Amino acid sequence: MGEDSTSAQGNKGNSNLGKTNILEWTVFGLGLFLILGVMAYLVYQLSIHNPAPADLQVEFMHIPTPNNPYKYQLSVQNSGGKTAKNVIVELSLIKADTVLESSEIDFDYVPYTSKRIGWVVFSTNPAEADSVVSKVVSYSEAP
Amino acid sequence: MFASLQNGKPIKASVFEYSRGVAGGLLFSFPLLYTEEVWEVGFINHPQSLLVLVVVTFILLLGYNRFAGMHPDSTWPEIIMDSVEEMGLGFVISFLILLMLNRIQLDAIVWSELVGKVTIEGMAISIGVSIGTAQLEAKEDEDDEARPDDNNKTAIIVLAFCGAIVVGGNVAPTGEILIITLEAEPLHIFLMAIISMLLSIVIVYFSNFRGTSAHREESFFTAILYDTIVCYSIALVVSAFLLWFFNQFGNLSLWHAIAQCVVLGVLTSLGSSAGRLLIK
Repeated sequence: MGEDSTSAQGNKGNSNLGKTNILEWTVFGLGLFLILGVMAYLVYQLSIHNPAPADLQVEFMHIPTPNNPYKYQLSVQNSGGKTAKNVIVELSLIKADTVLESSEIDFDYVPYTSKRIGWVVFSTNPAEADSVVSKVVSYSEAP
Repeated sequence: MFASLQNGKPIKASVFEYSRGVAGGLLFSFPLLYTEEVWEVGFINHPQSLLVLVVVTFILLLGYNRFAGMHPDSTWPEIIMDSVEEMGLGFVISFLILLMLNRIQLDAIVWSELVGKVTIEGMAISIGVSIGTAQLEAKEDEDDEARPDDNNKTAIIVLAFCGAIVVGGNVAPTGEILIITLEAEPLHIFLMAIISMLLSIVIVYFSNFRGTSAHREESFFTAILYDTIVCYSIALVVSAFLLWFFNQFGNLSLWHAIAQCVVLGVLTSLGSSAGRLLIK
């Protein structure tokens, strides 16, 4: 840390590192460990980074609650190499090629190699549908 | 409470220094810690830009500690050690504050997001730690001879870079820079450039900032010309770096990219002139 000016003049020169106390050596060691650790992690990420476009996969699960019996938990996994922005995902209840009801959810961002979770709530009982279908409606890619 | 080690600096003195550093780190970086766009950049940006940020910040810390943060007689090993400590504190404070603000969650860690957010905020904090340690000490301790020489051009350049980063960094991530740029006519951009340079001149030569006009050996106009050109050039370079880092260029045309640099340059030029004088 910056030299205390009350003792600054006396603390200068090559021999001053010898006057460093145990606290300063500890903070220095911790700082060095964190810097090297972060740099190593970033270099590792750089080596495995895939510059491919965003690749979104949607999974959903019916998780009813007393107040929202027709609630679905929905997760979007981005396996690509770019962050997806303004992601709109639609979940539809389908019966005999007819859409009984659709619900949408927006995610501001789905970062690369990350997952985002949200919930959609239907007013129609999903048990009346033949199937539940998910679709990524639209998104843009962050630079 | 604090023991002193034999032949070593008292631990109490080190604790006081770290306290000043933490205070400075928070003082200068809280706006960024509370800015959504900065959190987003933490998970949008690719590893190479984060690496560049860490390296650039470390160079800035070395420069600041060499010319303002420490006594001029300090040796490079001491300067490097201080810079490592400051960056380490930046990481720790960044992690703790983001945890407190619930911007990172330990129960569902995504390492790339965590490292990205902590790194970006940590770099801003480490510069604040460095400045805080140097600037928040008691005024009676101030030793004018320990301050950088006004004629040392390397010191001027390094401090101007630091000042521009500190001031411009708080605004560069926001969407307002792009809004101003896209809604400005060329005349507005031109006026911003002129005002930026006039501000630099006024601040450096006609204000009562400490130590600005003393000991000038060059002619007045040469000094004005030199400082204005240096300050504004650095302001534009820092603007371009910050805008690139915060992904503000996107796929904009060359004109809009340059115009954004000029828009942000109003602030970075203030940082490279006034900010430089305040942090030295």
